[in-house]
Amino acid sequence: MRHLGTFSVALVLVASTATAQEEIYLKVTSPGLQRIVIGLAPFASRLGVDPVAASQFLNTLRADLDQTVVMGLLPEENARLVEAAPGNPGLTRQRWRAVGAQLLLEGSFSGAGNQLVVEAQLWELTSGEIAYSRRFQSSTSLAPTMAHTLANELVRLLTGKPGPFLSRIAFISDRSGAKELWLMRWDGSDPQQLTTHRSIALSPAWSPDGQRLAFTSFLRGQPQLFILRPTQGSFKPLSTLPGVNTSASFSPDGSQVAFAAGDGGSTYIWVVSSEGGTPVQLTTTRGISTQPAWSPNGRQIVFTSTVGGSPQLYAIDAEGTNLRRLTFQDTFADEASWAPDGVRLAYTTQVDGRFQIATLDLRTNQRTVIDGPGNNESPCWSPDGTMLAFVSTRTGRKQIFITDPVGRPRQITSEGNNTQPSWVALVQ
Amino acid sequence: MAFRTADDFENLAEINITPLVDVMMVLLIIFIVTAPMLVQGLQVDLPRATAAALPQKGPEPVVLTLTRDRLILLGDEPVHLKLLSGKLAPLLAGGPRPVYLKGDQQLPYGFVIDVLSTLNRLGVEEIGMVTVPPTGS
Amino acid sequence: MPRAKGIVGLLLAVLVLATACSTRKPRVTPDIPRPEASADESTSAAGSGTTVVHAEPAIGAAGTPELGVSASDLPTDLQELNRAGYLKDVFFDTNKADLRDDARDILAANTAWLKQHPNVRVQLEGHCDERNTEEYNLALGWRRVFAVKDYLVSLGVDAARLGVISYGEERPFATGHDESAWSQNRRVHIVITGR
Repeated sequence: MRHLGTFSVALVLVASTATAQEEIYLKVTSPGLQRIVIGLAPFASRLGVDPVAASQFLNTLRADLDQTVVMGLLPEENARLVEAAPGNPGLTRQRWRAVGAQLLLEGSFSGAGNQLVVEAQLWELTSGEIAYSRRFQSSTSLAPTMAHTLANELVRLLTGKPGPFLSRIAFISDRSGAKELWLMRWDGSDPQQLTTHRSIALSPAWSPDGQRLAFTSFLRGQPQLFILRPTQGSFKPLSTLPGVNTSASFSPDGSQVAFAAGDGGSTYIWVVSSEGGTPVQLTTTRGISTQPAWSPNGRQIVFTSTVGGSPQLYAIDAEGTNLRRLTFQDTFADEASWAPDGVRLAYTTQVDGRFQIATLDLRTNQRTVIDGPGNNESPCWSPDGTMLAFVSTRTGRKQIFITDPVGRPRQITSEGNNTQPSWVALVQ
Repeated sequence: MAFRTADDFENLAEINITPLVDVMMVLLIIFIVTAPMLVQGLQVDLPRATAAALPQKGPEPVVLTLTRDRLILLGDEPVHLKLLSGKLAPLLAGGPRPVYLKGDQQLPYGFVIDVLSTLNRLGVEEIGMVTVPPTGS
Repeated sequence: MPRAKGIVGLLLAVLVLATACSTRKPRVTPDIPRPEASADESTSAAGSGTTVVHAEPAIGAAGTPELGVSASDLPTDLQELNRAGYLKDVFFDTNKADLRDDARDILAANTAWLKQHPNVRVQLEGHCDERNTEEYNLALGWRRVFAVKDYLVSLGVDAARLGVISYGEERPFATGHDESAWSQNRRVHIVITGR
């Protein structure tokens, strides 16, 4: 072997400023958290485009893309390293890839006046191919909705299920002075007050199609069950049985509502047509039966009963037969919520005197306690089953949090006390 | 381009090296015989030089391709210069490995130094500068 | 809301001053509902340099009158009647709807009074502490209410005189987050609704 030349050089060592950036990047792509990294290229904007709407769109999109489990937005410090190559979009995309992006969203704004047109292309950077291309047009006031729609479709592209970005959470808040029914986006933005009864509202429950919301109100003195159509603002009574008319749960086809109501001193599970009518008593065990939750396949109803002493979860077939106990490891189990897969339940348990959220896998009977500070209760699955909303006192008052499957909790309310979340994919 | 004598070169080298040498790097110039290189559709024109053949033994080298557009590719994957050491560190953690640079001949000298500097900081001791044989040789 | 209260207070003050000028004797206007005359209004009105005259407390409102007063002796105003405390609330153990011995004694005394005032109708309100979930507490409050109702009926009170409602944890009497507050909130509150 003959070398042309062998010589030694010394290179001046310079202080590294890149270390911190590299760490963030590596964390995002480290095993166990396989988020696909998506870069958001600067959107070109034609003359006449409403700059406020355009920036609303981008801010919403950026927030959405960074809040999914499957995707992670490329960190800003990495994105800043990318120099666009004029006239060479292929090279520009490779530069996005070089700073860690696996997908790149390119887009442009056009339209004038109160119209906004967004054209978006998603590039798969490894293959260099377009994975998605779509044109959106709407009024400028709907810019955030356009962004949510795009983000939803991107999630659907990667997971087969639409993202949560148009989903909403109904909840109870006392921020106006009384417990009223409220609605917000899944991330806590855009809160809207649905009732102004100045009474006590409780237990909101969505119909699966997002058209109707059942809830309990003391509006007429006794607690009664009502059904509200949020887009129409109208509501009507559904059950006026004596005593507690509470904890409604729609059947998956939306035709029936299970709920708890009293008779004598006991509380039983009842079922009524969601259009109204005479309720049918489903359980007959004296004591307290409450919190029915209709399974996603419609065949069974899980509920809380004190028949064995302490409150525990039981299941009963929707016809009222085949009663069986589900929880055995808890001193307290209440507020069951079915995951959309029909296999897992989330519920409220008690550990060392504090309330905690637990999940139960009905195939394996595996119980998992999600240990968090404070008291944690009222779990509710996101419509796609990847997240949980729950109520926690970890920051003082009762607030609604959401947590993704990795377990990262995020507080989404802060004003007053906020409780009893019910999550729906789309309000119609 | 001005012609630089051997004397000038040695003087410059001495001034810069003497007080700073703490890591010795071996720079090899090696050559491969291939058709014009295409990585990810990006053409790289390697410098032409008479050189030694690619060594066939020792630890498997890490190959960095530097395109004319100053894109660094680690294998097939583009990596920004500032993220390069983070990407390389795990590859070099198992023991010393040579790093081969397939740099386009039109690359600015400063950029090549930036890459070499990164490799130096990672403790790379053997660097191969890949060339192709001169035309007609 | 505070602004509205301030205006009410100011109107009240103006009304009272006008009355005072014409008769030289401060008089209480019975039309003004009692809850309006709160401390908030007096401070806001006083801040504007106006004197506010409050309604005097009704005689006999404080302290518990002896048993044996006839129906005609009872205050006509239901709020005053309830404030007089003829009927005592009963308290419960954590997560329990069983009547304790002290509750039975209280209910026996309440029964005696109810029998002496056969026209009085009451509402039994079930309450719980903040622990457990809202829905469970509604059901628990309902059980407590019926424990009291069933016992009163067993002592001879006509069930038709006893209204029932459960508030669960929604209307706490004490707002703390410890046992001293919780023990106050585990109760059946007895409210006179008719006489």
